[in-house]
Amino acid sequence: MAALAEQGNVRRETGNVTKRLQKELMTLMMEAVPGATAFPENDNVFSWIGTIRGTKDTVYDGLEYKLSIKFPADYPYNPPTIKFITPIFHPNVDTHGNICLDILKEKWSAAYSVKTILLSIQSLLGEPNCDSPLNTHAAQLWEDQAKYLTVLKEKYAMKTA
Amino acid sequence: MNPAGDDSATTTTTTTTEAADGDLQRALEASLRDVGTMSAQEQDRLTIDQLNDIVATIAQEQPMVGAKVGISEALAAEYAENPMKGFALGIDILNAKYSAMRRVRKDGNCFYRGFLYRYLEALVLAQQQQPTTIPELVRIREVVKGSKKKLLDVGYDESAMDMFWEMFAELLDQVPSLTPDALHLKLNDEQGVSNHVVWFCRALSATQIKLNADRFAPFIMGEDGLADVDKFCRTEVEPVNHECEQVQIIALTEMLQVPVTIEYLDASGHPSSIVFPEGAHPTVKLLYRPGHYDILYDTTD
Repeated sequence: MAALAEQGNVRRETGNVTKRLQKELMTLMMEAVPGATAFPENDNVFSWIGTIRGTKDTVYDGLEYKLSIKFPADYPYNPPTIKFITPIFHPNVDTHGNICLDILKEKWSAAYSVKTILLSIQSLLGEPNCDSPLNTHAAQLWEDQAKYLTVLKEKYAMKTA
Repeated sequence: MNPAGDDSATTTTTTTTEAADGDLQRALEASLRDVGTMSAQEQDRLTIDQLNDIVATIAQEQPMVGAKVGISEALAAEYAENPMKGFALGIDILNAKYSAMRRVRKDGNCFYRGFLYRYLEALVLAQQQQPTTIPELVRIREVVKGSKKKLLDVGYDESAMDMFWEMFAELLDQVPSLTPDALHLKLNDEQGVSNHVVWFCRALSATQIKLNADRFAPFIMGEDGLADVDKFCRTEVEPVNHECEQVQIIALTEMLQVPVTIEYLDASGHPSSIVFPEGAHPTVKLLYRPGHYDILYDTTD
């Protein structure tokens, strides 16, 4: 009986999370966030693929990157796990696509949504935190934007080839 | 703004379960110092792993809200070895004033969790005595109903907030059919609504602060002398597991119109109590020790 009751709770919880994710998806589609999209991968509402495009006036202008977004069963109490699928040259992203962004970790708030996360990552592109880099090469190069752009374009071309 | 400020924590213990909430942050800072020679990436990963470990360990070893226990039986042993005898004196005084307490999990949510648990428990107990819906339940349902517009007015995303709002409203709807034991199970269910309704209290607190930014601004001024209300809510109120200070307490009691008494136990030997708002007669009473809140029960409860 106890096990059954527990199962019921998990199911109900999952149902709530599913409903929340469906609402988020709806919002994203209706509002058409500039330079950011996200959609469930296959039929799994807990696993999405997102894309962000670099904004104007940044070295990432026009470059597009794919991200994987995996939601935990207790989302949004806990944050989703987000990784770049498209390799990216950036001070705060490592070679495995892991992102160092406080709102995805210790500063996570359940008020955030996929939309706010994607917009935060998008602004992180143009405003990296070079004090605690995951990619030290990129962090060192950031000061020289012209050189940075050259390396960035080289790497981007290589990775999307 | 002290004495209820969590930052005033004076404990130095680093064991997880006996540690106050503030120790979570201190343990992390210590771990960062120890690994000064590692790369930033390794440090970052270690910190996150460690944070997750500490939170998971606390979750395993301590229920969200514990069983009712006697004051002196719960606290005396804890302070037996403490060289500051003021604690023992304070415990005697509390023991005469209160009949029991419940320990609340030390995960940074203790104020919100303790406050909400005790309020709902009192609501369930009062409703059990009455054949019709008690006025307080009617009132709080209205407050929660009205909170939705306020949440949206201060800029929260409807799609992000609906789930919390609905879970809270649903829990209130269940009050007439709940016993205190059933409520206890519900609020201790790791997979259930508990963490979500606790987080909703953070959103309510932040909303009240934003709606009354001018009034709260003097209390949230940063070192630069500026009061950035949005930033304060983003970094000090909303983050899951972030400790609570007096500002958040005042905001939550105002938003819900549910008063609270905080008994402050320290080494002085004279526990002091503060009532929010002043002059109210709260049912919800919490015990504050530097860095942590637990639930207290009156001798008449």
